[in-house]
Amino acid sequence: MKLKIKNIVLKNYKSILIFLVAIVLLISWLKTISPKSIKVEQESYKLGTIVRLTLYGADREKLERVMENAMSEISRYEGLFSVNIRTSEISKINSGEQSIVSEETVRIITDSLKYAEDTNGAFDPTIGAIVKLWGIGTESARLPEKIEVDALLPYVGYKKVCLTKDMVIIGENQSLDLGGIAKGWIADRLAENIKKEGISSALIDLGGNIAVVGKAPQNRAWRLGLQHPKSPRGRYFAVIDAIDTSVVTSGPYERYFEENGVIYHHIFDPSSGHPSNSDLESVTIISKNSAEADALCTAFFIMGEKKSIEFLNLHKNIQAVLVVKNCERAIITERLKKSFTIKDPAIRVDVIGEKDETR
Amino acid sequence: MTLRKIILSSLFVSLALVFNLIEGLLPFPMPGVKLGTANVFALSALVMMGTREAFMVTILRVFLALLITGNFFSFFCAITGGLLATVTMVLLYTKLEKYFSLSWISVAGAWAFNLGQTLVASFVVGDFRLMYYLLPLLVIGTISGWIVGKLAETLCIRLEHLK
Amino acid sequence: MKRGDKVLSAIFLLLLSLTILVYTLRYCRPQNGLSVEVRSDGVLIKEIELNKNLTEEILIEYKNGKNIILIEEGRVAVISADCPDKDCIKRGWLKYKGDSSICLPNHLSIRLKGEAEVDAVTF
Repeated sequence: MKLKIKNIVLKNYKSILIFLVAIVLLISWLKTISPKSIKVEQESYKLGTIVRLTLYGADREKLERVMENAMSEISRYEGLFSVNIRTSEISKINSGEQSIVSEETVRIITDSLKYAEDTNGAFDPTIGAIVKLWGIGTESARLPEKIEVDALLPYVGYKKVCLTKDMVIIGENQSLDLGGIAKGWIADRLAENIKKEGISSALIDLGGNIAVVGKAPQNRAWRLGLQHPKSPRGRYFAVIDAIDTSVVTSGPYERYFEENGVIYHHIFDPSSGHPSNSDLESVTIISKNSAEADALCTAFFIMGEKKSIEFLNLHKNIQAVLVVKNCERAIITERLKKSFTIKDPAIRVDVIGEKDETR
Repeated sequence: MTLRKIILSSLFVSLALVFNLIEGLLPFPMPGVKLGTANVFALSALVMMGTREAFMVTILRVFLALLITGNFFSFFCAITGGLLATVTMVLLYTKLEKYFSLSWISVAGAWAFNLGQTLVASFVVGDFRLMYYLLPLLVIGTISGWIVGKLAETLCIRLEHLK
Repeated sequence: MKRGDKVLSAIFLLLLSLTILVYTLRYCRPQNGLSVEVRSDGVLIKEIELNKNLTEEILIEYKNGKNIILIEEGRVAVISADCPDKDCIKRGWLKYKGDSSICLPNHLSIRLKGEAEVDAVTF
């Protein structure tokens, strides 16, 4: 019996061969036509930066509709929160024209005040006048006199802001600037909407402020690069695997101007009114809440290494990557260990709580 | 071991070594690709003398090549690949000779060599994606293995009178 | 041909078609956003993104030796190595995703990787 089978196999080896080759070809063909998830991607210049949304799903029409909605939502929020748009609600609050505002404006200011409280004022939404004075990132960027800064400093202070259900009242001469939270906050709203629409895989990139919905296609985690503080834009020093979360980075390299060989960057210390003289090169926060990540990474940068680590030890639910001066070291939180991959071998990685990270 | 066997196998070892070294000087499009002419002598030793001599030719040739080139990595690849190849050819030739002709036994040996070689290389480099190279290596190995088999067959016929 | 020969030649034809298939699939993919990855003992020691305008000679020093790689017109080659067999130099230009050059004596591997490395960069 066995011999018979062997004979059949040997006699018909040609047809068996053709059969096998056909199977291989068939499989590879099937793989190319099998229903892949459709990708809808759109890039646009909004919020003073490049906004890129990527949605995955099976229904192209639906993806395109959601995309369109999301893009117009971004513009709508920009129209509410931007200090660069004179008719925005924030501008009107600042000029004293109007104090009754939309529910959303109340919400974002409520959140801002919460993070200001949490960080003891390192993040402060009332920094508006200082930001405007320096004008970093605009054409009118300049190095102001110390008197000018000192004159405005008393008007920085989140505690003077009063809120009701539909009203925002700021202190005299105060000026709001939501630049340190708006992108994160908007990313949260977009992610909520996208999930509500039943889309289970999306990437929201609002000028480097990233929020991801679900997993990436092929059931893998999203791989997010962290900008190398000393390299050109787009080069990353590490990669984070992210699922259904938000990753936000702050660093002085983002926006700055140079005068007499000194670099003046856009992250202002509310206590001095000057660009923060931080001992950090960049801060990355990983949190489900993108607004929180956005506000905290600005605050951490201002607080510096030691205070940030103290904060992280008190708030174990927040994950962070701190790059210390000269890019010799990256400090990461313990829970990040599994999803963090260093790409620049020149940077040493320390895990908080494992080594003498506070030195 | 007869005098005839001693002379013949030492001749085979030295010829295998020379061919091995000459091959190393030739340029090949992919790393790890070689004609494998040294195998002609291992195979001929197997046919004309036996299992023991086939192993002897392979092992001695690889060791001598190490002494001359000092290349430990080629050595590890060659000793693993060479032993696997010889084992394969010995088994096919002694047990299944009626099913296989010499050139295809040589092809099977070449495949075994390629497998061993890629495994060692992946292990040494610490990157097992190198195994990806196995596929084209096997295809080229088939062609060179078949040629080597034919050469060995010719050699054995020519040297028939020495047996 | 003996019976066993036929079986082996069938395997060969299968291998051949598989190789052709794998390589055509590979080369049909668009080639952009490549980056070159240098590993010593499997540990990443350097990663450089390629683009058409980048021309650079890079000295790679690591515990087992030294190599110099040349990046030009979106491709990479090893041009100098302190190993005995110079296989990595003979390999020539690496152009396509997945191409690699290996310096076995020095435990070095150089590999081209495609752009899917990260989905986005946060800054």
